[in-house]
Amino acid sequence: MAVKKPTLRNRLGLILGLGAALAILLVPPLLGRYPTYLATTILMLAIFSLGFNLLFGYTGLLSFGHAAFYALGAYVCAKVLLAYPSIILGLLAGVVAAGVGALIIGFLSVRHTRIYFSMLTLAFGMMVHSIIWKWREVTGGDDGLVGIIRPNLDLGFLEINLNRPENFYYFTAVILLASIFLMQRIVNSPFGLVLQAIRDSETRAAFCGIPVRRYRLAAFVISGLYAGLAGSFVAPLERAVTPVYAHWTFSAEPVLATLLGGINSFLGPVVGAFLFRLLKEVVVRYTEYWQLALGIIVVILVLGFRGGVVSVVAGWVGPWLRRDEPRFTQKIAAEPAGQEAAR
Amino acid sequence: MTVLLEAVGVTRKFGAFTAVNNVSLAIEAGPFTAIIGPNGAGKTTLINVLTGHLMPTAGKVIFDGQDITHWPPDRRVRAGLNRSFQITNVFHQLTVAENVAVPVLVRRGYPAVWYRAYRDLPDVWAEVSRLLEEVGLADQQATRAAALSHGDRRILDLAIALATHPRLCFLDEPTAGMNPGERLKLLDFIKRLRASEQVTFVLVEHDMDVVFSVADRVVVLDKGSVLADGDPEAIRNNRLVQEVYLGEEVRA
Repeated sequence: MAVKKPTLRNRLGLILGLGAALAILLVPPLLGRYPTYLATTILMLAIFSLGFNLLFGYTGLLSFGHAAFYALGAYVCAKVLLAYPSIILGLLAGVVAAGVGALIIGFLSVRHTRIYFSMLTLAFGMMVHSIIWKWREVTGGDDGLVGIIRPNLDLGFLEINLNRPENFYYFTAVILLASIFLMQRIVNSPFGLVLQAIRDSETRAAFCGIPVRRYRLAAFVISGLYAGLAGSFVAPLERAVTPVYAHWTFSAEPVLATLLGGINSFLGPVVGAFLFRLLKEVVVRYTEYWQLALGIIVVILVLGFRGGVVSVVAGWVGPWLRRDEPRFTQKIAAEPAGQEAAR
Repeated sequence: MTVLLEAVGVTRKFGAFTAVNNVSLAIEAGPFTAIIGPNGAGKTTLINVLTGHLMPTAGKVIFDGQDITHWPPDRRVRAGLNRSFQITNVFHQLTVAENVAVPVLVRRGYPAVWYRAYRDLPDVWAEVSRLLEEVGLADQQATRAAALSHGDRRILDLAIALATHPRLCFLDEPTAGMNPGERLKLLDFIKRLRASEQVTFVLVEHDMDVVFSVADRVVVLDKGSVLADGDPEAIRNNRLVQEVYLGEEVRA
């Protein structure tokens, strides 16, 4: 019994992981050009949502302004690529710019929580949008920046041609995997536990000796860096950037993706990004009122899958996986579904 | 005796209402102090001001010789001042062990570490198990705090405060809302804490049985001011106190 339990669980994780890796690898050769592009945007939204959920699911702060950091990444990366053909430099500059933006906006926002925090981030996000819209000499105004090149990825020993869509896609996939790995480290660290403590009780966290605001700001900046990283891929992918990436409707994408996948599951945002983009893609084909239809479908899914798709599916599979374990651990594992509903 | 905490003319107003009015009070290291008073006497507000949960409108708070009047709570906690909450305040989505691990890893200097797994800190978990053993929650260490009984959650609340290793700890009505069984268990627990003598406790309580069975000194608050201050016997026999607060209960 004691031997069977871990192997069963490990094997399922391994099978799922290998399956996902295989599926990611096979998109370009099996599905062709457009699905590869679509999959690239899914990977980007996954990076965006993964970072967003550090703030939302783990720290308990719902930001409606993260498009600002996505757009900062996109525009700064575009500016760099227009001046100097290095993808690595472009991405790095985009991430740093988003981090600086998140430090400033976060500093002003984390002194508030709940709806006040959400409204502040919404306002700051729209401020960034209007700056991009008005500052024509630098940002190109509503035309955006066009004619961005997609330089080769120069690793020194190897040069990869990113103008082949599948190469760009694989490059994005590697960055997503690295982002997942890093985030996994963060949420399982003492720092990650402190963030969850702050989410559950700000007051008690302070009375544990934690300077709460500073930790909130740290979570805000990390999630801003992730948003900037995702946004930096827009410039070379689309070869153009427009103010729409800073609009509040774009801030809603990681919110919806995360809600769909599940805020209390580590991979919820990644799964949610996949579901959300795919759903949008399908709905857009059938109706010009796609926003209405998409909204209704998302509401139904969020209500139907309380706590997100990942939690619900884990709830189905979990008991089967743990059937050999003592009841003691089962009790804890069965808890989340009820807790989330109560929150 | 060294004075641990001193309140000097502490006043706290909410609009036109004065909840705490010019209270001066010194808490010495060692004796177990109880603060009593009728509902609305300002007991919880006083604790909130002394622990940094609220800022005073006037007055000074001195802890261990330092003026901490404007320190935020987390800084006071790191200096050795903590409290339990009247309305239980725990991390409800975390397990019992994780709840206690948070203050332990803060005290041991880990809170900003992001590259190591928190489950992989042997010194932290050894201390957590020891503490849970002491407070009698060891069996429930893997249970989520939200799933605990009311009484156990109050003990967890207290365990979190103790895990910060305070030198002075306020207990804000620890027995509120408990059934008689839980009340006895907690009283027993407080007596054991008192015997350990590492922490000085200040208890705010409604329950006179609890107060008179553990306190070395009783401070009576009424309408935001100190009405009486002395050993339990003197307080029991104080005419003023009997009139405003103890009433028939003591005379009967």
